[in-house]
Amino acid sequence: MMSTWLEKLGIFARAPDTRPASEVIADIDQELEFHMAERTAELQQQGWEPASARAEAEHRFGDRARVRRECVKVQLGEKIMWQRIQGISMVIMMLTMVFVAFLLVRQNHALVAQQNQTAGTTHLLYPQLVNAKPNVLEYLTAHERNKVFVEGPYGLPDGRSSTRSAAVSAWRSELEEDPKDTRKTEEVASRLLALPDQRGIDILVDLSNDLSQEHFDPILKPLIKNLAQPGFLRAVEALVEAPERPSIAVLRGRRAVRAYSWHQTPSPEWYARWRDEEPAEVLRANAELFAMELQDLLGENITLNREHVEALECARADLYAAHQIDLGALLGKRVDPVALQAKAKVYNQRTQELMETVASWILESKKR
Amino acid sequence: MAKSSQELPPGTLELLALKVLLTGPMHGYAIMRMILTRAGTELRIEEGTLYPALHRMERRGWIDSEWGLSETNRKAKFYRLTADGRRELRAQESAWRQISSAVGQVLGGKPREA
Repeated sequence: MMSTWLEKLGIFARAPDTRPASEVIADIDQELEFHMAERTAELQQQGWEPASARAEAEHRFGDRARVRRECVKVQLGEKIMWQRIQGISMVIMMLTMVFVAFLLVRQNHALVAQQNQTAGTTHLLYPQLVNAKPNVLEYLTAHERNKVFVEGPYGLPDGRSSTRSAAVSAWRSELEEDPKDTRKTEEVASRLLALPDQRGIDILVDLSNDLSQEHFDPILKPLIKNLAQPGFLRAVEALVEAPERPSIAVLRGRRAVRAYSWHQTPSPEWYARWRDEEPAEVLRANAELFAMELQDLLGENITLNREHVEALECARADLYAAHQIDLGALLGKRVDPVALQAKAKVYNQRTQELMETVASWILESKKR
Repeated sequence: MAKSSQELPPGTLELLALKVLLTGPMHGYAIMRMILTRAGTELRIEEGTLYPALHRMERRGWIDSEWGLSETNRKAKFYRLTADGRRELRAQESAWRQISSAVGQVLGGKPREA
């Protein structure tokens, strides 16, 4: 039984005829026609009329069309079977390729979505990434898909996104386009600072070594005005340290930096004061002092002073430190963009609450 | 009343063709002629049925074929028995004789000797 099946499958048969089907069929036709011709000739030799002889030969031969079909099936059946197997294999292979391509595209979409999701956390990750273990950085930078994650999408002056280095170059050209037009430069600087996620600060820090002297004043002015915003002091600090011949704006900036003391770790006394006393009371009192300081610097009616800001920064530093610990813990294990996004969201939300508190104090101070 | 001729049992034509080819290479028409000559009027064979049988045997490797010229100087396909074909012929012949003998004994009513 088994051998019969194997035989039917052609296992014991010779390899399929590799000639074209038309050639095989022509051979069959020729062979059958030879038989008919020989039989007809023999019958004619026996005295049959040609037409009768041919008819008799066909009669003895039987159903020629059926015989031809059977011969073709025997000769080409396996070939057709192999062709079908080949065709089916091709279809399966193509479907597999399409499926794999679909999976790759879907995975790519997921990566892009993940990158978009993590884009907002970039500025928070930088300090941590700089201090991260080499193998973590190596991993992040070695994978193209993490490039955006590491560098973040930086806005160009025309609104498009780019890498940090390209953005720095583009904004520098924009800022240096017309050095004498301080109003325009100030407007460009304001647009730069308005980039989301404080990307403008990062770009300004990068620019601080390259910007020409005449651009400092128009850039510093909006920066100093926004000194209480997160990260602005870092930009001011970077800018005011660069020029060899400081302008009035640079001198003011330096004063602002000293007053603001963002870069200094808050003293234990400040921490103790902030922790032991009601934060709102501390912040309220110090905000008034900081406003006075700013009023001196900018000549505008702002009622915040240094102590306010220091107290504010104590609170913010505390938040930031906690956030850094969270980031460190996450980076120590594995980079989980969703978790980072959540942490960044909480951090930003708390920072925003603090800033709103200060803003309300400013308004109250103005009323008084 | 004329004696009626019998149709071949299935598969027998292959055995006959192999047996005929034992005498040497020949084309399909010659094979059929020799079978019909030897069988006389006892067998009724549709001549065309030989060809699918020849092609099957060729696919199984029992016979080989090549094109040549017939006695009438026409292009014809000649078949030749292979070594496998000879073995197959012996096996089929032996099987046929055993069956024939057994059937004959049953029809003759003689008990087989132990």
